[in-house]
Amino acid sequence: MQQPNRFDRRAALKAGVAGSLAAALVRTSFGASPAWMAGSPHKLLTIFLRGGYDANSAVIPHGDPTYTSVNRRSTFIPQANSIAINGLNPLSMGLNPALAPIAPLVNAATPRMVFLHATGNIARTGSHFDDQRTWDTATTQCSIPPLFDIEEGWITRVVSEIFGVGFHAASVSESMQQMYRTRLRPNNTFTASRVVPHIRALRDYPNDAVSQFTLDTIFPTLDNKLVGNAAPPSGLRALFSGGAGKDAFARAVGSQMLESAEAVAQFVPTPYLPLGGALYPFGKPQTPPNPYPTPANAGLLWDIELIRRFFMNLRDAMALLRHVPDVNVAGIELGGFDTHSNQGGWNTTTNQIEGQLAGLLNAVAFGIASVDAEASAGAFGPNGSITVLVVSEFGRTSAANTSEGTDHGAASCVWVGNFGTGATRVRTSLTSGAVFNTAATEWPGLFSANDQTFGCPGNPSAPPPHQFMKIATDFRAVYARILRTLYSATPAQIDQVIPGYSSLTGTTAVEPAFIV
Amino acid sequence: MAPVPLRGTALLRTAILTACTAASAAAQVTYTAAELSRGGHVLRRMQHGASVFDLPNVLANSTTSQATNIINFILAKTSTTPINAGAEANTLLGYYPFPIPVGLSDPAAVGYVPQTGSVGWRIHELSEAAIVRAVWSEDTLREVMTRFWQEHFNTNWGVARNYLRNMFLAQGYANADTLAQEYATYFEWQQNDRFRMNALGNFRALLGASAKGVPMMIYLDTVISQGPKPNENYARELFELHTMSPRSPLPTPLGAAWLPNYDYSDILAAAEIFSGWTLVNTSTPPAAPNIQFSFLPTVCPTGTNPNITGHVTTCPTPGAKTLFTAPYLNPFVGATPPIPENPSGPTEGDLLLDHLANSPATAYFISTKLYRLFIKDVEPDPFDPLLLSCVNMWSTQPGGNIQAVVQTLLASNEFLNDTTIRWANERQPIEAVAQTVDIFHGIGVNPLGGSAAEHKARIARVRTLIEEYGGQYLFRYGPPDGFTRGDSELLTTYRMLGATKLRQELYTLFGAFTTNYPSIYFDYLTHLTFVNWLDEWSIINWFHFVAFNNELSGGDQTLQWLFLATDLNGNFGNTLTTDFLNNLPVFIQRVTTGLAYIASHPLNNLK
Repeated sequence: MQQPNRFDRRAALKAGVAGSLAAALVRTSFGASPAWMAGSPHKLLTIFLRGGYDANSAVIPHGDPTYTSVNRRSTFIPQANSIAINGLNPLSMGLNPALAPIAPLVNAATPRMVFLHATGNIARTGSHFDDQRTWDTATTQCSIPPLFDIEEGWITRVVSEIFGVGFHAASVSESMQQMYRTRLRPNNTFTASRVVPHIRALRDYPNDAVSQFTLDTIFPTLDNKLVGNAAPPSGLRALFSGGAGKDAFARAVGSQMLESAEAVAQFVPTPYLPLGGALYPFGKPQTPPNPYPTPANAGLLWDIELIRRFFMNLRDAMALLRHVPDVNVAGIELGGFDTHSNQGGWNTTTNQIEGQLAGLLNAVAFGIASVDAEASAGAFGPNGSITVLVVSEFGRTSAANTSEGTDHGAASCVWVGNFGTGATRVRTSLTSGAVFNTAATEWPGLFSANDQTFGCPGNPSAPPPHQFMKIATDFRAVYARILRTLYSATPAQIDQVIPGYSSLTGTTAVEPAFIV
Repeated sequence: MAPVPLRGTALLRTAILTACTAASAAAQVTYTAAELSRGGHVLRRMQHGASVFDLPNVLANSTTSQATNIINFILAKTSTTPINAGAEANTLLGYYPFPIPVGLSDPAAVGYVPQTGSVGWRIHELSEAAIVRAVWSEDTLREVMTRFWQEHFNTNWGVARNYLRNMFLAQGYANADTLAQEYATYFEWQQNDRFRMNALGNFRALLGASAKGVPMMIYLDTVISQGPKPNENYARELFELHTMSPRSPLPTPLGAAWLPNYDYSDILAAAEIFSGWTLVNTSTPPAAPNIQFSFLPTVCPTGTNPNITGHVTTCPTPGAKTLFTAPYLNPFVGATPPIPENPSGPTEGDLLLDHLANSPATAYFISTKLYRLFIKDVEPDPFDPLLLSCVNMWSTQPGGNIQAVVQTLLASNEFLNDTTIRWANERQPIEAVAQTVDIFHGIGVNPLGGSAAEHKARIARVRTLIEEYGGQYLFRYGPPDGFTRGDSELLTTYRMLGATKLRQELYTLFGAFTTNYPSIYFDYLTHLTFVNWLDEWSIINWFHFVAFNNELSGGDQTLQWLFLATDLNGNFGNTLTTDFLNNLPVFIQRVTTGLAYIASHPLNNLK
């Protein structure tokens, strides 16, 4: 018996001839959303700044007496040259000039973006790998083997423990982000629902990157029989089922590859058309002419290829969040923030912001402004919104080193934005405005990491000398607040996603009310 | 039509035995399926991308089929002096400008290959030479270990190029861009060849080659780290990635307690110790640059900085330094002896490297990584007896005996006889390429046919495939821990899609190549005729034989049989079996598609 022609079927689905069938297929293939998540119009985009960005050069505590040109050397940014933050601002916080694209979001009459300064990991070790793993998995890592690299991500737990089987999230990045990883346990067992797709354009097709993640790209010459049907399994679908141990895991990944590729082919238009004049630079076509980089900020660019790929991944993440029905969470990342040398700052000779850090921050800010533009133009419907969560594994030393960079520190600064056509769900702090933890009684101070209770038992995070800032808010409280407010997650569900969360105590565990 | 019952096992056995016999003029030896399976496993882990075609070659040179003899055969080649990649590899390497080692000459030795000899060197070609070695070198284990060290001590060509370009520009060189590209390639080559020379040698030699190598000194900022507040980048990664790792297990009545090996104070002390290590250009333009290691002791004021409220400066403390003394550290590590300030003879940094290379924490960490490379890529039990044996073997030579550790792993019962670990480690893209090309090599595609230009173009295409579809940019990995390893990173939807596409492109690449020489399809026919198989069974089993050493499940075999037994419309009843030659076009399309089908198999991502 001849198999249905999958290409014809897909064409019909795209044309809307079989829209109800499409929905039925998706539900059948990918599983139903849980009650607490079903129909949620709220999307989540995670952006991980890999390398530990210098938070105090991005959201600058001009009011801290130790933020001086002596301490900061060439990384110093004078208050007169930073972007002032409006409203309640007890510590005279300012934004790095490279963050100009998001300044209107922060300084709007009703801010759509806020910062959670002095937020971090109380078990901080200063290792990129340890501390990224901590943020990615929402577990502290005090007692683990050094090569323990297979822990599943916290988003993976959101998907598997709460959403159920399906294409609910995707890591859209060059490497699979651990936040989205599936864990194969040492005894070679795993749960199929934990396989979250890792999506990236196979090659640089500037017009329609994510749409290359399709079976047509993989198997252009193969006939229908080879791809096969889901039930009963045949062809490749059968090949990607069964097995045991690592082989079974590999097959589950292959199966998820087929499912996500089919979903992309069904739902994501080619080319992707951004709304609201949003731009994802360095892609094509560039109509209207792409303003990034302009001569004014061209000097900020550090690694054009790295930034180009960041924008491509951001665009693809937006395509998935907008068009694939069940995708609720997507994650991108940007590396290069490990600025041990030549970090850059305000150049008093050229009178402009310069250096690697500024180039990277500028790209992130430009990207977030594009997300806001799309959401504000109705990308997620009249009642929908997208929350953007920007994190990094740690902050950096508060004094620059003699190679004009900064080394690994502790507390960082989390960015949160909520964008859409309705009222924003972001809220400012009652005590410190758009930058949380900066009231006099809250701000820990740039050289405050002298509390021996931080770090793993018996191994303080920061034995003297104290070079950096300690943590005022546990990052897990930020994650929990997002789950609780956006998705009405119960305490039990939050404990599933963030192990041991309900037993956290102390001032660092207090959830800041940055979103409702 | 009901599926026809499989009869593959007996045929496959015949296929392997035939291949073994065909590849060797030696007396025919009968091997059991278990022996062949074990031999295949040994080869897959000890070589980049072994296929079963290597098995008869190795068996022909071994006295028996025992896996230990295969290991000894490979080890004997690895320890042979001079280093010899073999005729095929050397022919191909001869198309590139890089010296082919003819002895154990230190590539960093004065006069071996001067820096000025790097004119025209390109990093892409260095990557391509590495691919040639991975695929064609007969010194297989050495190449596996060389790549292991290259990733362990990861550096990035682009970072070195950028630094050197700025240096050359500042010094007034007119052709700074070109010089920087060539010199950065030279130093990556030099470092890689030092890793190759010491691949199964002494860890301290490897550590020194990395620490004082130009690529690492630039990559982790040693070159620009000076007091009074030195850069901590190299110090931290030296501890965490190159030697001890952050923590080690300590036996307790309740099991393993993972205690830290160092703390922030030790990182600061090490940063001070390495400050002053730098690079200088002993030439001036227009003479070609000559970059040399240099030690410039830091002159650092003491005391606190009155301008910094609440901040104690970190000016190096005059006098000797003792590291790893905090009470909460793992006693396994051991405090250093006092390291004097600016000693005569070895620098402070050399003395610290000596201590680290001999530390049990380093022995434990490196042994664990090698365990995961050769045995299984999951976290071993903290006190696994095999792991502890490796730690003991480390100390049989001052500075760390790598060969003893590797031999301990390869001779272990786990490696030889634990069938659950077979097909359980992930292949990197370069390994997938090596395996696929090996298959073509095995079926008679001659890598030495054609001109040098044709070869170079083909290898360049292979490199771009590895980069585009595998994301593996040799010598240009970004993170300091090198290219990704581990199931959660390599077994992802994107990686699998890329790996599948990569293999399909390779089939196209080498298939097109063979149509200009002996047709690959003609090879199929010759092979099939030779064994007198002209039905779909032979095709299926031959595919299995080529790709997986017949470790596919019965279900997978059935799937492939169903595919090949049907026509292009998916209907049964084709005439392949009854009128084979007249249906050659259909056969060719089915073979091509079948190869792609096999390429899609998840097992292809494992080794």
